[in-house]
Amino acid sequence: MKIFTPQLVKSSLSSHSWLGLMVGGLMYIICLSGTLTVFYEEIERWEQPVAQEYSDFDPKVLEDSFNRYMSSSETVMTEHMYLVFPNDALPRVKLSSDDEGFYLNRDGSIGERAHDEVSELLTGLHVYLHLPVTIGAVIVSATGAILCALIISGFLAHPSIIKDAFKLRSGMVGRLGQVDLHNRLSVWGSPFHLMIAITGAYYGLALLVAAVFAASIEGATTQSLYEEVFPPEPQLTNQAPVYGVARAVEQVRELEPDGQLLYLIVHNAESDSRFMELYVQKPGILAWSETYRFDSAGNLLGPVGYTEGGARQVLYSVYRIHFGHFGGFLTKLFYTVLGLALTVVSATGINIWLEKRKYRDALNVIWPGIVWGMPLALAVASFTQAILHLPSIGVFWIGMLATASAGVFVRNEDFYKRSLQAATAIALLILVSAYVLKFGSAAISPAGLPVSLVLLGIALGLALAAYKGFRRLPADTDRLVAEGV
Amino acid sequence: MPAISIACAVSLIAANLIFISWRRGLAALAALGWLAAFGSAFLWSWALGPEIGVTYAFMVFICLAWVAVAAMAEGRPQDNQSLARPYRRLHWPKPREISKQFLLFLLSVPALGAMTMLLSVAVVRHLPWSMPTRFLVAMVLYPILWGVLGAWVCAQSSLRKPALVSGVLCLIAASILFV
Repeated sequence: MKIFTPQLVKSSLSSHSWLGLMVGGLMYIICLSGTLTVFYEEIERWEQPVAQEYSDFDPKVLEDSFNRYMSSSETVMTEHMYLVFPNDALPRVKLSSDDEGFYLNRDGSIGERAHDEVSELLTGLHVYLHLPVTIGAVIVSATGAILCALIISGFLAHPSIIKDAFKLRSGMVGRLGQVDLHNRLSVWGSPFHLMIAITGAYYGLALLVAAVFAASIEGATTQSLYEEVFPPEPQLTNQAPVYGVARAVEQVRELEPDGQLLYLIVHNAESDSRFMELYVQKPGILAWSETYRFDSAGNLLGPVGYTEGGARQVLYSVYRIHFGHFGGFLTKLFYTVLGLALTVVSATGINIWLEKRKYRDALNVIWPGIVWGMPLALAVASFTQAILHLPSIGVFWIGMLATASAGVFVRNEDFYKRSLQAATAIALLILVSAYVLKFGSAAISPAGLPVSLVLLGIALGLALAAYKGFRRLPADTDRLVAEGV
Repeated sequence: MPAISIACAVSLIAANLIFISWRRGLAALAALGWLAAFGSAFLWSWALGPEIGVTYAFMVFICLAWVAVAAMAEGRPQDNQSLARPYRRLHWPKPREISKQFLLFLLSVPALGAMTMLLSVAVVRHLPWSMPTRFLVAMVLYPILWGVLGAWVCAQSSLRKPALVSGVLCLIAASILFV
């Protein structure tokens, strides 16, 4: 029996094209920001290179500092207060509320203010598109579901999947080249892309699914149902605002000698029902952590049970599978390659549609304006945020709007693309130069140097691409002029 | 470390066998390659534990396949013809076409999203599993069902049939859940 009938291929291709055109731009923004978000810890470290760094700590010093911080009149208390332990990617101790944070010096004194706004700009863009969280997360998650539809329709629209399995024709340019690049990256990468789609759909849609479950069970509420999945908080009273951090840390170290301490959260910090949760990551599993609960004096209340197997552990593993936060730096590199591939698939999907048309119009320049404008907008927003400390979400979106629309006046997509690449290279160069001027010797510390070098590498790559592209341009430009365009 | 090296080597062999079988048209070699790819998951699991191991087996194999694709890449043609097409003013579709596309959007995104949510919960609602398990299965099922039905809806030439099917499925799911 022939599976790929011409009718099936035709209708699947039509479905794939329609879905791709509907979400292509959104998918590109989500994929590129997601790829960069893999390195949110490294970016956060880069944003504040002058903080003291160390990997080992004395729990007693931490306890004294945390209690001093919590009782200080300068600390603005929020419902949750945090003590973040050092790890390989971010070897610092941080004390923070829901709104602001400070790094802790090795001697226990309060150090530099924590800056993670660029990192948050990227994660916010990826997780909720800078919209109100409940709306943005649902849109992003729905895009995950549509990615599933694209993968399915893409396979059904691809009758020569085996025949073309390794073909990459025409140097990845022109329609044929773009089709090959799109198909090879998407077919081989489909297991990863499907995993990203399903886990990505989880974040924004979980609450809605829980609400449907609750509505179908008599007497249940979304909250009560969620508490069956994720155990409820302990109900404590008369808890003093003095925290037995050292006792809690020592007990967890005994219980999980191979575990990596992540952070401690004080819940209900402003009331006497306060309690502590200490998160510890176990080696060899994908669950985010096991979580141990303590009263404020550091008496163990028990583990939450996130790593005791079953569905709860799988649900609690979604975050690390989606963001590649397991297995160290190598996993992050793999996720970067695989994430960039999905980004290229999103971009080439629209490129194929544009190349297929017998004519060119404003869409041919608006699309490269989005694709190559996003890195430029991110570079400019990173400059205004990391160097000038200006709120930069607006800068990013104005940048996107400007680059998406400015191409209409250029009318030559190749020239416009190369111009944006050159502009991004210059913006990155300015960003790194300003960073060095602002932070001096700290800019070449282990905290500042790696990200700066990567930025310079990207700038160099883009400058070379722009240079080569500009050199090829005159012939095309002459022809366009000759045709009266 | 030796376990990781062995797992790496088997992934490499798997990708190579599949690539060579594709170039020479040898189906038996391809089967051997897929078997090695499957086997590499066990070796990665032995090296890194089953959860991280299986993930690595996939990631490494995908990247190796892309390396093979890159090895087959043709050079860039001298002349890119895409700019040779005429540039014209942006053509706006007719209102009738816009409303048809808008209806398709409404059906395939919000309507299908709501319907498949009901459907995925309905499928697991009465199964004799714990709530975390039912919730997990519903969460995995939901985007897949949405994806499958979304691809099908967008492949139809008329909206009548998908609207009817979606409506019926919605009624079935709602009756399982709320009646």
